[in-house]
Amino acid sequence: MLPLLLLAGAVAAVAAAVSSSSDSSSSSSSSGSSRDYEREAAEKARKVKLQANKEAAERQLRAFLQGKDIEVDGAQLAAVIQTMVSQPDKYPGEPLKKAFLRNPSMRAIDTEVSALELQIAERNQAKAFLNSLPIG
Amino acid sequence: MGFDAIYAVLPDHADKISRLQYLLAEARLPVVSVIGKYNHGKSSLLNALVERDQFAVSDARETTVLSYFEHEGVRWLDTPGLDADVARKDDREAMTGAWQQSDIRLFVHCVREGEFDQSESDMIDALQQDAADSGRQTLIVLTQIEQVEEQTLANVQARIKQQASKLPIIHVSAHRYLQGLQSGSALKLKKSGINELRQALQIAMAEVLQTRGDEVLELGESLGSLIDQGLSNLQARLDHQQSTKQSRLAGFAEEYRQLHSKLHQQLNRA
Repeated sequence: MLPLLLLAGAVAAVAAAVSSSSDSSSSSSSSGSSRDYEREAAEKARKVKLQANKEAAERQLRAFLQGKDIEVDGAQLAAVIQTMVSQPDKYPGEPLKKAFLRNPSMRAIDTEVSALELQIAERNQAKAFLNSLPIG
Repeated sequence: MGFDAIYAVLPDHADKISRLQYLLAEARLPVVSVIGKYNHGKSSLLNALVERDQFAVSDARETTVLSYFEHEGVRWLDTPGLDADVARKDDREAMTGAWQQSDIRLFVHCVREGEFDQSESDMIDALQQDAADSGRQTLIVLTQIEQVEEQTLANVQARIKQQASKLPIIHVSAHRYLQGLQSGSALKLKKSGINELRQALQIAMAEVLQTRGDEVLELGESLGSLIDQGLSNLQARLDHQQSTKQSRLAGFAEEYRQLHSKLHQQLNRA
């Protein structure tokens, strides 16, 4: 009984092997397009993710700049994001620094500085005149 | 540029500036001003001192602006009364002018009125303080002594001495002096006290030039010091503002750098 069973098993194994070989040769013609599709899909997914990352980064950047009262247009924002993509670590460039220095609180400091400089100039003028008087 | 530059930066010290300006303007005669409440005999006293009816005398309030007269090398100055209840704007301006121009002040008080009232006390305090600050002298002159008994005069003088301990007191009768002049009475002239007042004024006037020089020096140093203090405060505020600006810019740069680094990683994560 056992040898019969073994024989039956061997036959079945051979049959399975033949069937597998037949399947493999029939799918080899379509495997190229499937991989392209998968690559395209992966690429598409990657681009979607990059776009989502970019939009998230833009939101964070815009919120940061708004928090500093810095107004930037879309092109400036895109340029800054592009720099962020390509450079791992970078201090703000001159345009951004200038934009920061133009915000209302920094302008208020500049106004105060100008007023103080004027008052100092007036006092120096008064002191120069006082020193020119025939005193002592 | 001129004194206006100093007025512009020290507007609260206009009195000191104008006094310095006045002292430096030109050589001037010694200025003796007479201060006191109206109808206490200011103008009569001045008339006795210059020995002519130069200043208007009346029971009504006559002097409302400064009244000048130059006599024997002295510029005499009559002022409106101190009376706050009747003083007008031009009176106050006249008083300010007298304060600025005077080298010596005669503070006139009618002995019949007893001790100083509040407005007189306030002025005496200011004059004593000014004597300490500027060296300018004030003499208290008790007038109309012919109208009270000697004991009354002694009592009033004692009370006034308590109220103005730092100032010399001289008592006079302009009326007696003018009578003495008219009648040729040496006794009346002597009892008038006007000559004692003249002697005190001569002593005070001998010091005017030196006092002016000292005052110019003191005012110059005081105003210079005030300008320097202001400069120092302004420079500190300027330094603070500039430091705040730099610190905020550095803070912004650091925050940006951190955000940049974080977003760089986020953007390249796919």
